[in-house]
Amino acid sequence: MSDMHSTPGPREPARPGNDNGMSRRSFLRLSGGATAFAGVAALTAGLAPLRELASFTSLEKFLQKHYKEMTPREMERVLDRIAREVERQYGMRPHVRDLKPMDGVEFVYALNLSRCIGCRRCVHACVAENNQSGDPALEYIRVVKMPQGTFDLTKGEHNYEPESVPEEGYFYMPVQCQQCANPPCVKVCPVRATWQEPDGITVIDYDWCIGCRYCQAACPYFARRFNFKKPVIPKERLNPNMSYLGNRPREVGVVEKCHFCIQRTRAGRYPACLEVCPVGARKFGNVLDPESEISYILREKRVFTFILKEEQGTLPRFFYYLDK
Amino acid sequence: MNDETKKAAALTGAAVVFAALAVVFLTAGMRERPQHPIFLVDPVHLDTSPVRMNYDTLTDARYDTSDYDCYLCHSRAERVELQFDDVGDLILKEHDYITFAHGPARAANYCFNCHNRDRLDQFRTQYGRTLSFSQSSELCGSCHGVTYRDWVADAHGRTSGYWNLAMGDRKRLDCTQCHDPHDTRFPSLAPAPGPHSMRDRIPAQLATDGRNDDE
Repeated sequence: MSDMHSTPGPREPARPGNDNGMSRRSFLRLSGGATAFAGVAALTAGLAPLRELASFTSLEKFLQKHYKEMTPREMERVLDRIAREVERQYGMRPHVRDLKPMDGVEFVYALNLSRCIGCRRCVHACVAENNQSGDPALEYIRVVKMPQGTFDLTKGEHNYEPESVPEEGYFYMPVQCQQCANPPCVKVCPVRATWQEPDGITVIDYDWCIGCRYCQAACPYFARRFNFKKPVIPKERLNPNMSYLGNRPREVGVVEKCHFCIQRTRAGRYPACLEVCPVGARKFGNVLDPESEISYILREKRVFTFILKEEQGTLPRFFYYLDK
Repeated sequence: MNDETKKAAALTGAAVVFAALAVVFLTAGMRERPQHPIFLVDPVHLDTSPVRMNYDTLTDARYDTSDYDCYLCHSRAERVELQFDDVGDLILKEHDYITFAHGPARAANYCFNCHNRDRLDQFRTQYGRTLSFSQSSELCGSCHGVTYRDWVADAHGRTSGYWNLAMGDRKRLDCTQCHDPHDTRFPSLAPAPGPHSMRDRIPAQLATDGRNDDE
């Protein structure tokens, strides 16, 4: 506007149109003001989506320490924050805990390939237990239908939909996180948001994950899932029994995976997929306890004939076995 | 056209553009996001109850157990005689709801392999031990020893509850809660829906049209 004043007069011959009521100068002032106003309005409107961002990235969460550096008191405050956030978003007060690994416990899972009928109940029980997003639908467990006589995964089929299972000539192999003793996903994480716990569960701190998805690429079992969108879970389907490293609702842009139902198993219970299995093909327990059923299976059954992608050297804690 | 007119025109144009942008941004923020159904887990697939009921659950739930009361029809004094047809199949008469498919080539096609001929409301193992209807799993174990050993170790069959017995109880099912003793193969089930890519055909009752109201 200032250079308008310095504009030399003689170069400004009056035009008839500008004389009635509005000078060129006042019009410029008016239109300049309108431009500024519209610009601010446009900026405000354009930045409006940031309000949503601010609603989930609270200062508390931003300043939160790494899981392993938090004192019990700090963890208490974090659990309270999570409970408040869940209550605000879903309208129900959850029971959020941070269960610690037990001494002398190492979890191992075993799945009886000669029993599994491929009914996919485990997949759905897992989704319901662990608050996975329904849109897009995330699932931790995949059931692969395989022709009998081979373990060649390229012959596997995910999208089978017959009237009833099992089908003649096929066996079924559910695949989920193998909770490797030598996990490639943990090695690649640039921020240490995923690590192996003393009881053998590889966990993810959803507040620490930056969503780079390196772990997803590193996993040979395609066990990790990424939240491309903010997870959608209907309020009435939310499981209120939550754990910090387990099934608390995730945010957009973080990776999640099977954690052996940490909110159940660290409280002594069986995982959800095991309890729903109608044929009892899934077995779980403490491998350090010689009396446990999992120790019995590792001793008595044909376990080591098949370790999924053994050549990768991942040393899974998830065993497939055969009865005879 | 001089500089000031140009300037005025530019400013007016900018104002119009900004105002239009403001309107676009605001309406974009207010507009409802596209609504499409969310896939929900059908609670049918979460049922953890066993596929069959054993004798104890039948009596506990006060179901009709008259079928187990053998002497409603049979006489205690008279010994039961089995009748076979020309091809050697058992004639089941009143028990024709029973399908016999126990063992290869229907080898167990003989009632008194398991039932006690002298006391019809009991079982009798091949070694002569008598067992009540509630002890059916031990009866199965008298032939299927390896499976019975697995079952006792919780390695065969469904379990639920606690892996850590110091923290809670574990429930183990009887053989007959999964296997029909006369037709022992585990029944076929309809598979639950497949993975995400298959879900363009969502049944209406599984779909919800709402999103989370988290704002």
